[in-house]
Amino acid sequence: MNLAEHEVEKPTSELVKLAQRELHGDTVLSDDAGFARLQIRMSRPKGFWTRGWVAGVAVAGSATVLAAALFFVQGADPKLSFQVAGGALDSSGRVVGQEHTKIRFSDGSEATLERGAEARITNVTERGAEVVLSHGRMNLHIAKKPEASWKVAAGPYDVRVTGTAFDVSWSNQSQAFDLRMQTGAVIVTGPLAGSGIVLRAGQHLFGGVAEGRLTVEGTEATASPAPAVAAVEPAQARPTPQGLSPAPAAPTPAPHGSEAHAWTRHVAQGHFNTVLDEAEQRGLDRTLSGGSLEELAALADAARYAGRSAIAKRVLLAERQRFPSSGPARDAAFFLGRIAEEGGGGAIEWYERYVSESPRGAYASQAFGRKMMLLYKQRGAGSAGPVAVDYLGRYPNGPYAAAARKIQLESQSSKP
Amino acid sequence: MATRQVSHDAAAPGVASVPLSEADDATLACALIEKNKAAPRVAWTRFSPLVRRILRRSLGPQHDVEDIVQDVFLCLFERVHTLRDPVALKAFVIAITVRTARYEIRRARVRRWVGLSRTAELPDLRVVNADTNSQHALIHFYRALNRINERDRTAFILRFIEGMEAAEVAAALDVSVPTARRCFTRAWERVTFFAQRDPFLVDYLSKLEVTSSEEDP
Repeated sequence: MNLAEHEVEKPTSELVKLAQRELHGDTVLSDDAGFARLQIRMSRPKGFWTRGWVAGVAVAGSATVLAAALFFVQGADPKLSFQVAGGALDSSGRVVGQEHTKIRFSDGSEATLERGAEARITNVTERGAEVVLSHGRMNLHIAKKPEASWKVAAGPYDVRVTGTAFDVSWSNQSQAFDLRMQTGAVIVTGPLAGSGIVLRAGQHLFGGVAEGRLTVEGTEATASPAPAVAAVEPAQARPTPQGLSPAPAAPTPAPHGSEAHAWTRHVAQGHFNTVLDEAEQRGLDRTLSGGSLEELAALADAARYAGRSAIAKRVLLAERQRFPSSGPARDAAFFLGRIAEEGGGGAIEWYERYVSESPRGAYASQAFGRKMMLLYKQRGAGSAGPVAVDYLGRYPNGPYAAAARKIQLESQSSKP
Repeated sequence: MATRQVSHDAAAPGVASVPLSEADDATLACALIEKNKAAPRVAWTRFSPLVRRILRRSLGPQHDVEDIVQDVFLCLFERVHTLRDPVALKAFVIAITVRTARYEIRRARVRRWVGLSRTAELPDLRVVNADTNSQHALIHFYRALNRINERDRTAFILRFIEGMEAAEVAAALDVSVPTARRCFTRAWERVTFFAQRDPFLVDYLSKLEVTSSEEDP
């Protein structure tokens, strides 16, 4: 009998593979140090080292070695750590909110769980972590740090965060998502959110699949006396982001402040065509050559979300040309890769450029994974193999890890 | 008992040609029996990764095995004179490791029953430094393994995780081959049964399936 005969019970096979992968014979102790400890025990009179003594000494020794190892490991690659205060982290990594339950991260970020809310912390890196909100309400304050990369998953919705504070809740029962911004900005992706909705301070996004729509309420200013309400709705005559359903007519807030802010607000409210129309009225060339970075970023988002790839490409290229050192210009390389994937070629080069410019950027793992898959499809496992190895080294639990392992195996087996 | 000449460090200069560190298992076994001073170090270097791996896989991710690895070697050095066939040194080491692991499993089970578990289920405060998903899946997997008897569990570990042949499993457990087969087959069925009823594992495995089906190259 062998493992293959049990393939029908694949879950057990997967767990066996997991144990094989994770539980190995390596140790933080050097071979010499391990043997030195053994020699000390060998030199003791037999009566001396009863199990209790041995266990005590060994545990103390192990703890010291482990602490030293952690110290050096943290010094080399200081991943964030976190503590749960006023609550408990169970062995499955779950934190269930009680009175004043807080998850405090070593970079100063903090999540506060309401009673009954349930969250898990995963993929902790030196720049952030993933907070998975299973249900309930949570307040999150993310410390503003350069290249901070945080993700909050609430049900089917993902919230990409850099430095901000907001309340988020998810109900499994009603399938309702609710996000109330306090400071900063986030991008929400998930059902009905198309390629993503940008939310800024003071805005409130709510709704979900059950309700059939997502609604953005409020303008950027928290002090706005009469917050406007707008439903995220698809552009009528053009290709639309996935799943956006027609929403009832909603009052559009009167533009105020600069045009750039108005365009950003329009994008946040799903009025992509309004932005595109205004840019075309002003003259696209003029906008591309004279618009601010914020205007170009909003226009690029509007064009991408509305499915106007040709315009999006021009705007993204203009961003990169005119504001080469800015964050949006660096991100533009990734979006240009996505557009190139849809047609035209050159996606691999754009993903490579994105990774070289933003090795720790929010889209780095995606860029890596997409480049690997494209190489595999276009040139086979031989070309994709080294990228797969690199990917697994950087993102062993990333979304493309399973594919990378298969490509790596195929690449190894195809070698003469 | 076989006798082989090996390069004993200072104890027997010029007797043999092969350095002990490169000698085969039988030679090393003879050196251990003859109390060659260099032999324990060579045995440690050669077998400690194997012993540590079997112990980790037998006891699970929450168990500190370093002191138990040393227990295995202390037992090996004390009992090696009972080894009848020096060629079987590796199997002898595995048998000691398995016996020690089974003892630790029974001991941990008793500790859990009397409430002395070293791994509290709900600590008030813990610091986590890395991705925890796989670790938690492992912990839940070993919880499922905790629910089957220690002989079946050990047979399962040796057969499926260590990848040993049925005959090797039988030798390590000191049972017949058909008995070993029954043990690991029964264990597989039980583990599958429990894993399918663990919500965390169901969730974890379903995500794996989605990922692999979406991204299958």
